Amino acid sequence: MKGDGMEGVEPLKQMIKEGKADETGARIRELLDGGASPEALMKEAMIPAMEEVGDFFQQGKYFLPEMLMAARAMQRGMEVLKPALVSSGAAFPGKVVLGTVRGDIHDIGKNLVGMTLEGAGFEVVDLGTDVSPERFVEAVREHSPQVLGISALLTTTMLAMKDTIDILREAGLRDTVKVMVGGAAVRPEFATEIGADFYGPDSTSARDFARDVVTG
Amino acid sequence: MDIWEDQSVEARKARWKALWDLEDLPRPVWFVPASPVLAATQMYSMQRLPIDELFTNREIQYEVSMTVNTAFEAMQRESYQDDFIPHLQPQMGVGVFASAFGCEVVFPPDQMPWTYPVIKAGDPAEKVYELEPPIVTSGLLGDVLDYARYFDEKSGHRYPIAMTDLQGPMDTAYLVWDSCDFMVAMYEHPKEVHHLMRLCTDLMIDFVKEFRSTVNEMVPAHFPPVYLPDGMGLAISEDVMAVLSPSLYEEFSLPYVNELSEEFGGVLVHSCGDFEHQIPALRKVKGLRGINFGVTETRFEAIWEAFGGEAVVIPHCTAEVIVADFKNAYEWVEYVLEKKTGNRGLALMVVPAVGDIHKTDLDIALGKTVDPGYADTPDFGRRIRELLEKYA
Repeated sequence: MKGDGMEGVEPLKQMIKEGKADETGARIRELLDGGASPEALMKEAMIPAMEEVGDFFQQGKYFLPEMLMAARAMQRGMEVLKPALVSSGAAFPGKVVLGTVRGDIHDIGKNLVGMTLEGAGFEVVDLGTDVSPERFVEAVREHSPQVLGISALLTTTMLAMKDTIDILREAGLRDTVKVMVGGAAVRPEFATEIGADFYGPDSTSARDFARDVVTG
Repeated sequence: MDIWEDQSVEARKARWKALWDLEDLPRPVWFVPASPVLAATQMYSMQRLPIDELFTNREIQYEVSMTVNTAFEAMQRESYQDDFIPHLQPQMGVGVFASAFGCEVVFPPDQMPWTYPVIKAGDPAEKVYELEPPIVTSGLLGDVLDYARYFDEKSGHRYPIAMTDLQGPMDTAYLVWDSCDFMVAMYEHPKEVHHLMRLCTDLMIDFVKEFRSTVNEMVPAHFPPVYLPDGMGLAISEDVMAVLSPSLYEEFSLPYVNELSEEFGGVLVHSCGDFEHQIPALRKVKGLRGINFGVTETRFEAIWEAFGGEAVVIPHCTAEVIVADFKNAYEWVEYVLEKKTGNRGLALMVVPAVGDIHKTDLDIALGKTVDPGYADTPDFGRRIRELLEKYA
């Protein structure tokens, strides 16, 4: 790969895994200036690095802070890479709208899912926390995502997931998007009962589901 | 008086004392938990009644707590015959200590109280130095002390007064500072994290002493709702440890936990989630009095092997399935009793969920009428006591 501007890709992966956000951004800038392809950087460095981070998390080698550090490095890198990706005509593999339901301000799980999806190259629209069913519907209409991710930590807020899916159906948008749900109190039986397409116990399963959706 | 036969409050307190003293017990201690406000909140929520006033109105909180206690004492007499000691507890949610740093606490009618961080996502870490060191009446803490005094006086000192929700220094810091930024700051701004941890710890030490001087009998345990005699420790919630590496926990939390332990005669640590990886770090807690955990979230065998007989081990069951799954209360109680190697230092917190736990949770989440199996049944206490005898 010498001469294609990708010589610094291994150090870049290491920076992401170690959560060095500023260095990641700077390195990507250097690599782009050196002629590296934005799409190749994404596919050969950033996505594999975040895959490894996800594996470390699953294996208990990384914990939440390390995962967040890596995800921030990834985000910083994406800030630099995204304009180059867009101008090169490279397409994101898919788009996901995410949010924590009305009445719930817990966001770590949702953030982790968002970061993991971004790490897999998805375009993520994060609506934040305490999101009303109507706001979810608006966002689906506005962004046309392939996947809608709804998070709730508490038993007392889970019912808002059902409200959201119901309103999505009433708006005639249910068939346009796959709905995945997750959160500490959520269980697969609940997901089935409320008409969700998928229950994800963790961020990697959410990523895998989104991948399955976009690859058909 | 045989303290293991007698059902008087004195006998039950003596049983708890024997537990904390790690005496060889004829059977494990067991209790059906009834934190009055939290129990009332659950009942109100199931009936879709507004719950905000339970937290914000002193008279309502008192009246409801007394009603819960009266009902609960009847169930204790008629069914449970367990070791629980009813208490009163000023309760305004998990954010009362965070509120002392300026965090806004919101009391929605249909949710438990929310706490907004005062150091928000993206704020510079140096903002911790702008925090005014709180005093024992800062934020909601002044109201907590007022509620405690009022409950104690109005009830004529009938019940011990349990500590308000005392999230440990790290759980509190995690509420004060945007949680994701706080975690990243452990790597990028360790000095600032320690600064906040110092402030949280100092506040807790001062507040617990003030609480103690406010009431006739303080029980320094907010959760689990155990009877912990004052002087034998302080219960703290350390839920953040479940998602930290052992090295970060040892660097950023352990020193402060040890300070609390030295100050109050030990610590009883509660955490949700799977924290088995923190067992080596927890062994470094000086004066670890006990550990409370969910048997579906952290393996009982691992905790028992590490701490059984050396600290009090208090398992309970939750619907969050991580390492084990149980259908109802009898199943998990029997599981624990089979695995224990003795009774020293074992206390079981048993919610009378005798129907299918997961179906019940599903029904609650879907807003359906709850399976009657979840409610108390007359023979619940008898069946638990039979299990205790079987595995004595």
